[in-house]
Amino acid sequence: MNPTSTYDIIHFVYWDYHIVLNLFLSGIGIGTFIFAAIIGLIYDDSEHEAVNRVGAIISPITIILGAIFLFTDLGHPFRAWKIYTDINFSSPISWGGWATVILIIISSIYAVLPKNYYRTRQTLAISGIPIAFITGLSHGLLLSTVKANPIWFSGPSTVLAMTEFITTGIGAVVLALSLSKGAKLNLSSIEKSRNILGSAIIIHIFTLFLWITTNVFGYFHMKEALLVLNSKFGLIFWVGAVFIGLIMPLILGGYAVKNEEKTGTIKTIFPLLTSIFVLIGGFIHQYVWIIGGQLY
Amino acid sequence: MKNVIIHNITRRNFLKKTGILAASATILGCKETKSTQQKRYAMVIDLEKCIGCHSCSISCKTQFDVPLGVFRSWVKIIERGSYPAVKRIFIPVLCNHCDDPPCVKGCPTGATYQRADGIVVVNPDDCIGCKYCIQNCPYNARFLHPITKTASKCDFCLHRIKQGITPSCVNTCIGQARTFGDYNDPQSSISQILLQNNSQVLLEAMGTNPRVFYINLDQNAYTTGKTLLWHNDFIRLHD
Repeated sequence: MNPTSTYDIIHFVYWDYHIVLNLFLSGIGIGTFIFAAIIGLIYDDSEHEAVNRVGAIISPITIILGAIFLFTDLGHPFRAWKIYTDINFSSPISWGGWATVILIIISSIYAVLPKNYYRTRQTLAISGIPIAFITGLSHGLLLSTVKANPIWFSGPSTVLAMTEFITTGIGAVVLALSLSKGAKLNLSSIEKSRNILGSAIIIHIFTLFLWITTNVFGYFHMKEALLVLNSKFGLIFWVGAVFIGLIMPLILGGYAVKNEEKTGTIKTIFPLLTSIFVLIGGFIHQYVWIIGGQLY
Repeated sequence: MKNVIIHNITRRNFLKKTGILAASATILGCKETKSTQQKRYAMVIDLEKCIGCHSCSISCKTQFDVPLGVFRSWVKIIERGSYPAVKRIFIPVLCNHCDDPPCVKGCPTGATYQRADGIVVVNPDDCIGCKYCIQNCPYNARFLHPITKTASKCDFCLHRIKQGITPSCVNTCIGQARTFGDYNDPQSSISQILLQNNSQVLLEAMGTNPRVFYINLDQNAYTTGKTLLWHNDFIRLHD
């Protein structure tokens, strides 16, 4: 008996741009810390110091900004302390809140500590990396444990969120390095960071593919939710998040490598554009995921 | 001889005392079980009796002074077919007070919790308004109260239940489609109705074990034609 018409009440889109920015900025902070800390642990030379330092500075700033957007989204922001006192371990917001605070403390100390405190910085990096992963995981699980939402509710959602965080984090470091006054002095580290960014983008594309196939071959509601998302946000997702955010940076990176081989010089414009595209794509992806995800 | 007597007496006494102890424990245990058997509140809605008058929605609105645009309880209407072969289905919707409520799991502060009698309630003083419980509810039964800025939903009219009165939607239902009571009591009217009829729950595959049961529910009617609109109260969608 078709067609079917439904009269229903309004179902609001409750999470707006605040949550989009929270996930986007927190993701950058998590990604930059992981990247900076790993670089700091592996390389102990002046060549990589800029990457380590820039990443360490960006991390706490963006995580704090992200947290501010989360708190301003709350109905009662002045009750936010309850997250830290009335702990519910089955809620990712609860334990994720604690992980975020610990990460802010570690990354802030890591950012301000001078280079001669080598051992302390190493200790902070080693302890901070798992905390950053836990924080990223809490942000991923925030969506992927929502059983009511077929777009979010899948294992690949968490993996996709984590790779997204790392890609945008590295992108932010490359952008800051390319824009810095000493960019020409750090050409080598910019080039290496850009290459790592390229690898992260490839992994990101794979996880995105995994997430899409999970939904395409998933149960009825998963397919339907993906269709809804595609019909409302398909263009912005494929053009903005996928083409601008993932494909364009790869094309630009490939072109830059060819150009460098040909001319023997490294131009900062390519990494600069690449990182801008990655960040734009990352933001669009979060926007479509959060706003579009609530449509079904 | 003395030893034998002592032995006999001891054994007899032991058996006697053990027997008395076991018997009294059994009696007390049974009494205890009967007196403290936990209530489990539930509701059953017979869709054959629902005429879509919305009196349940209105009584709920007035009972809790629910602001415009949001509902604790409402009636979803589904129209099927093309003229002249058409059918109208009414599905009253409210919080399902699930046995495994995802909203309780998601609440970061414990403001949403489940009482021993199964009713899922929100403590507005502990709610921070993060809206995560709203995202977690598969039945869209929750909303952010526009005035208090906290999560809100049906609580089976807890204040009325405490006074021994049925929830306002049950009280006002002119078709007597709704029945409310103790699911654990085999003599209760709800248990009897569930025993005599085939009942269904909404989105059973979610595994939340809802405690709002429906009789004559068309699952496809509930899941199809879901609204995708943001700003209009009642809008007809054509597939």
